[in-house]
Amino acid sequence: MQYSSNNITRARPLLGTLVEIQVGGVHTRAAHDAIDKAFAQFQLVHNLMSFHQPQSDLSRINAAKLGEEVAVHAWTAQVLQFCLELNRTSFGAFDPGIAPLLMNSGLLPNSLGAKPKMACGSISEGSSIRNLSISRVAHCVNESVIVKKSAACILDLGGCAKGFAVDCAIAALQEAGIPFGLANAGGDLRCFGDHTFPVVFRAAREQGMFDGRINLKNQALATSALTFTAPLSPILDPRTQIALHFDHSVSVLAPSALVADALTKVVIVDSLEALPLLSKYQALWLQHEMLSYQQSDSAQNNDAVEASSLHET
Amino acid sequence: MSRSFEQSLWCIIGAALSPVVLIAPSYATQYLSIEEAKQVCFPTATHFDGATLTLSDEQQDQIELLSGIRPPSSTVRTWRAFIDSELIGTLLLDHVIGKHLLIDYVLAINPDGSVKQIEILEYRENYGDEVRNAAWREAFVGKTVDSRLELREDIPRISGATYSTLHVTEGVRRLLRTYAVLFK
Repeated sequence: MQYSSNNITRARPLLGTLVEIQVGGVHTRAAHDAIDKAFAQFQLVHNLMSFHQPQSDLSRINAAKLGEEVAVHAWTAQVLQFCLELNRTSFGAFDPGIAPLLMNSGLLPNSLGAKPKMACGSISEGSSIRNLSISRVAHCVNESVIVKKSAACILDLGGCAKGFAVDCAIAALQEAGIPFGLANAGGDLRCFGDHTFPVVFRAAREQGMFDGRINLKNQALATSALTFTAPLSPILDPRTQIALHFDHSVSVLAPSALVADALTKVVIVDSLEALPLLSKYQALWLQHEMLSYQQSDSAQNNDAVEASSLHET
Repeated sequence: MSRSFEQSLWCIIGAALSPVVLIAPSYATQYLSIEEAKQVCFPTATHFDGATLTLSDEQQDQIELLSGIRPPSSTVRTWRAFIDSELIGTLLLDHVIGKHLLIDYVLAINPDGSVKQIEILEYRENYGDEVRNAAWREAFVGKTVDSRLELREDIPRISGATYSTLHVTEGVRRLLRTYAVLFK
């Protein structure tokens, strides 16, 4: 059996982006087995939370009638519970219920067979995750989760599912006994273990340019920016239903990728509302002056940025 | 490859210090060699039969008709994986070129024709003309395991807007038809 003292990195196209998994400190075979398991988590999250797959938990919720009980996977429930909480604590600045607006602008397919106009009394008028309730039902030894809609609620989890998938992948690597590793789903990434990972930021709107560099250790980082090729903004203010056009990127450091991913959206929509939330979730909005631009900052010689300590400054 | 990485680094610095730097940068990562990909996709295989197969014009027409995409090349690099004499799957090597990226990948196919897995071998972003230069692309071929591992240790991950992998999805659709034409 080969032993690899270096890192092994693999990549697959998943969740519509390039997903990278990097592990180190284990035998090559064990590394590949763990990476296979981590990729499988991404596939499961995709199957549960894809807007595009008709049989996903998310699509079944979107297609459900008001009051209809929809049984969902524990992971879907976990993400929905987090989204509900963030919707409440951000006073509506975060809301996956904006899916009908994305369908109207063509950024999401109209899979519901109905005209999803928000302002003409259709099934999606006033769509919000606030109209969703989550309850747990015990069946013998198993517990299942039921969700119900009390009013319009058509959801898109594109604002946080990638981050959640990264967290699930990291958990799989840790369960497999990997000492250190990283998962990166198109810029939403998280690392763990006694190892420092250098990360560079792609400059928003400047193809091929990079905007700085940071060293990460036991942290998650998410960056949201308009893609170079998309003229339409997928980020909207749920309160005003106005698409937000911005020419910069927003990066958030947090203990989990789900939190980091979701908070980038809150920062873009309403940075004032986001400030107490960043503190609540032990997260940090990365400002450019915190980033290192030195070429010589090798991973081993530079201290990783600590979200908690930076937040206090 | 390491030279390309150095160029990337210098461009990172250039972008930080001066927004008007006009160097065409590139970012490249090599994940797996072909040999590693064969082991990763079919770890139980006892041997592989490798071949470069040629598609006739008729076969290319058929693939284009069924997948909507014409094969970019008339040759296909394939490996059939065996446990002793039992066929356990097939590996096809392919690459897709987008406006700003080039992805080399392998598609592992089960004997029943279903997708087993997709593994990216190399991912390169390009913003100059170098992607169209075959010699530049070939510069990545033949790197030793050691040099690549050293690079992996240092190469930073990227956070920020990323490109869609739609091209790979289209490539897989084309390759599944290519497999059907060649092996069924």
